[in-house]
Amino acid sequence: MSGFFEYIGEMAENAIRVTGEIFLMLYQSVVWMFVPPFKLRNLFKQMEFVGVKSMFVVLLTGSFTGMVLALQSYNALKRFGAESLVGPTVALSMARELGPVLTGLMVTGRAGSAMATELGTMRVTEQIDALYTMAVNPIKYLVVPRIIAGILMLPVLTVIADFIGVAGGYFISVHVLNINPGVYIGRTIDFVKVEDIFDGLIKSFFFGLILSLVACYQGFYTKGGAEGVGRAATKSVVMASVLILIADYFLTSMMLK
Amino acid sequence: MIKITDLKKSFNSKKVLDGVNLDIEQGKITVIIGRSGEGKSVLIKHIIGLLKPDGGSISLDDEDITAMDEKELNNVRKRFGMLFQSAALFDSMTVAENVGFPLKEHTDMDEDKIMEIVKDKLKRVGLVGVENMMPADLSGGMKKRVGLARAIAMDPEIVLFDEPTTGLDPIMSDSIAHLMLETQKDLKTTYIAITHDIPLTYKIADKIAMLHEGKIIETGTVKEIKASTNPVLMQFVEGRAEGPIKVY
Amino acid sequence: MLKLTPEAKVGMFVLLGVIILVYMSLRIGGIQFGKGEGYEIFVKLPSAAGLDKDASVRIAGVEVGRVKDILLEDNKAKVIIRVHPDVKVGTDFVAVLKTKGLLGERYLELIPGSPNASMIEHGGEITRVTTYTDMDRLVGQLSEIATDIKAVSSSVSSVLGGGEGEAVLRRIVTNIEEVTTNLNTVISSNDEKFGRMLTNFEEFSKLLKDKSPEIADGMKNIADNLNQVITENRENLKGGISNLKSASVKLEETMETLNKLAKNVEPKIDDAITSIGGAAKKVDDTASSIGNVAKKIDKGEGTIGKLINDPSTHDNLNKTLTGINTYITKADQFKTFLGFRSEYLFGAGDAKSYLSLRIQPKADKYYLIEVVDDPQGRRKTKTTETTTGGITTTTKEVITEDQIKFSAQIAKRFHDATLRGGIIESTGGFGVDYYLFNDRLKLTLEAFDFDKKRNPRVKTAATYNINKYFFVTGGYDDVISKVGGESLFIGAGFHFEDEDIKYLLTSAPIPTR
Repeated sequence: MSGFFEYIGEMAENAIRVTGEIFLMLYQSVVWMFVPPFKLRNLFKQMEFVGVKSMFVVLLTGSFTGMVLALQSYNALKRFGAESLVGPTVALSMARELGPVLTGLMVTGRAGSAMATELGTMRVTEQIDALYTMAVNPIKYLVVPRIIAGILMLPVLTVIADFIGVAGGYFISVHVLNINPGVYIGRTIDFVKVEDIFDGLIKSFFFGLILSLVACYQGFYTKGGAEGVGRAATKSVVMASVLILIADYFLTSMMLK
Repeated sequence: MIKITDLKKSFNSKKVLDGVNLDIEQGKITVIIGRSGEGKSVLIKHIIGLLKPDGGSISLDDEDITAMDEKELNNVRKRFGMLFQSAALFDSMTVAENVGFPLKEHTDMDEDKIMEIVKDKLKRVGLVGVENMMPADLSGGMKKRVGLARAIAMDPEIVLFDEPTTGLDPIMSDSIAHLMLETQKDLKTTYIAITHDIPLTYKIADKIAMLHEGKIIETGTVKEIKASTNPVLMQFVEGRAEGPIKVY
Repeated sequence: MLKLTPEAKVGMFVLLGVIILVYMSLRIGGIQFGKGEGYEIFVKLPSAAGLDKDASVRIAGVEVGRVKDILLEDNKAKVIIRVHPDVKVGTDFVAVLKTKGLLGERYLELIPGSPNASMIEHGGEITRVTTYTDMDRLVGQLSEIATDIKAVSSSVSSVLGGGEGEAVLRRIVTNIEEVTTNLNTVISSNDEKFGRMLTNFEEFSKLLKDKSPEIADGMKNIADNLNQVITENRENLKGGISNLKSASVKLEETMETLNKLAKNVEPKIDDAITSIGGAAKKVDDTASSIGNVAKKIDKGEGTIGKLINDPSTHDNLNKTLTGINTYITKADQFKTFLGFRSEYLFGAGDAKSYLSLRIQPKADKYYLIEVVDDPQGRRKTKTTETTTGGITTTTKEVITEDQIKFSAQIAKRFHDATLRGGIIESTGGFGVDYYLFNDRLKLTLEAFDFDKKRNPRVKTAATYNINKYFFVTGGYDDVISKVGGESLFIGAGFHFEDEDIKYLLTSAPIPTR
């Protein structure tokens, strides 16, 4: 019986510790972000890794999501004779919700897990300790560029996802569902506001922070050799994905208040 | 040069270091021996400030390392070099970038100057033409050599060696031993090594210290250690399963 | 295959994102005009349900303005509209609340009237409103009507069906005949009554005519007596209140007029005096009591007396005025903004941060106080003289150092431009901000740190407000520097209004002690 309570207690203690450590890492990262010297080379490498190299996967998911949205919303809206609203439905869903969230999740899967693996390997092979012994702060050297890259690249990827999603929806609507192209674009312009896109971009900014911070945290505190590295990668993907969806809810409710 | 006084450290109520006292002399090679898991790595990590002790002090030229903050510690660390057990080379960098890393981070030297020093250090550890190779393409012995080249890149006053020969064949171990002696002689650097490799210890040590059950139980020159009658020390250096040290 | 550096790849990638973003924003944003442009008119609607701020206002389906605000006034929705300056709205335009498509958003359609009608000026009202056609209500009513019609037609058919129906119809016709006969009788009998009524009216008016001289005489008497009363009480009144004095002068004037009036009807006085005698006495009594009242007022008795003589009256009045004053100030939208922004200077390789407090007593005026942490710092010219072998060489170098600096500026807005000046980064300076796209984009030019030997520090920047709180900025600092301080910079920041801060503070748990 006491074992049960011990288990619960350990879980709670663990949750509090992890939360504290993540916020501590965020705090340290913010502090080190403003401490010179600034090595931009490192940052650009991470930006290339998170941004440029995620473009293909974001293009794929974005276009297919836009296409499937067009099919689904056509199927639903047809019953009300409101086929002309397929364009706005696709555009609003992409800009406000699916663009940022799917980009966040895809980049978590691709770049977040890779970050956790890389930092985890560096931890278990003492490379992080080596940085310390060479008087280089690993938070500044490893974590800060990754977090900045996440924050800066996610909005750019989201813009691309939004665009390719709308383009995919347009393609299906016009060439498969025979919706008038002028109506599709006209309705979309009527209903979607610039704020919708920017709300989505603000979301993606936070998603970028979450995924890079969680990946760095899991990697940085990896224990237990090669097996631990694999565990860190899995944990980082699960944790970042869940946090992105939770944050999405709160950000959305704040934006729609 | 370095004076360790009554150093204590526990992990999860398990006492690893239980009052270590040790003096390390300048320009000499000090080798700390002891069984695996006895806390040799813990001790060496305290010397470079990677771990904070529960009690006691480590003073470097009469300055207490254990009381320093990150900034002061980083200034002290620039006087150190360290060779890790697994060499801890950065996977994402070439050999040259690895060796040149501390120079790039802490000096204003241009690329050409750094490359010159990198080549010089690599030559010292007996490596030529490996500058553009990646660590993954190197053998264990080569990694150790590159690690040593990186450790001495900044011409440190003190170099720490964590198990320098672990995982190497006896011939490679011997060549590492020679390398350590040569580099030490050239630069008159203070070397501190931890190992359980007795032949290596006898080859290189100016002073040997035996760590057992969280304490230094014996110190002395190679001659003194060989002549010692301490049963624990004798069992260890002779490598016998029977004796006062329990094997679990 | 061209080998690209990570920087080049990232640069191209970011550029792609920015181009797409600008393209999409321009397509969606369409024609926008600034907050300051156009003129405001309003319309009162019985219901503005579904209409939002910024909803479009259209004439013939073309957007000509936006809804600026919706208020409740006299239990009606007062919708304030900002109309494009080129569009004229006539006084006979009709406002209709419409829905875009079947499920679309609400907008306000203005239906044009005759081309000759005069135009509504800024602040004017569209008085003509057609009640909106709510889709739901329309459909609901239609179905109700349909049900009614069905019921009626079914009962009609059941009534008219068969021989019984025919009998009923006949009865109806007979009834109608009877009704008309009755109506005829009523009208003829009332004819006489009407005649009598008219005669009575005639008599009444004659009577009025005859009595009018009597009434006039009565007036004169009252006037005379009043005159007397006033003369008697003049001293009291003078000693009393000056207000009453001026009133009495006016009374006198009135009396004179009345006198003249009385003289005009003098020939008919004779037989009137006797009948008025009694009334005059009563007026006399009244006059003396007015005299008493005046005395009392002077002594400070009674409510009015207290009101006039009591010094607290003045205090209260003053307080009321102060209250009105503060109310007006509040209505002028006194606002305070707290902000923070950080700019990364590529030249210095360092970040420059600003903490700012903006006090805005009026919409077109504000004070800006900033604390600036600048890596470029204050530039100083250091002169070193070295004497080597009798030759003195003077070297001058400009030293830049990290420094905390302060700005305090006063700013005034004219249409889309804001001029500001004062202390900028601990030196004298001034700047111009130009606003575009509904104040979303701000172009800035500022100059400070004037020195004869070097050029002043001139900074250009563009700031884009992502939403109410967050903005990004970028530009070129120290444009005409002689000492190599020129640098590109990018940055971002946020600012909160005091209301937001209050909200944040109150929603966060605060320890009580």
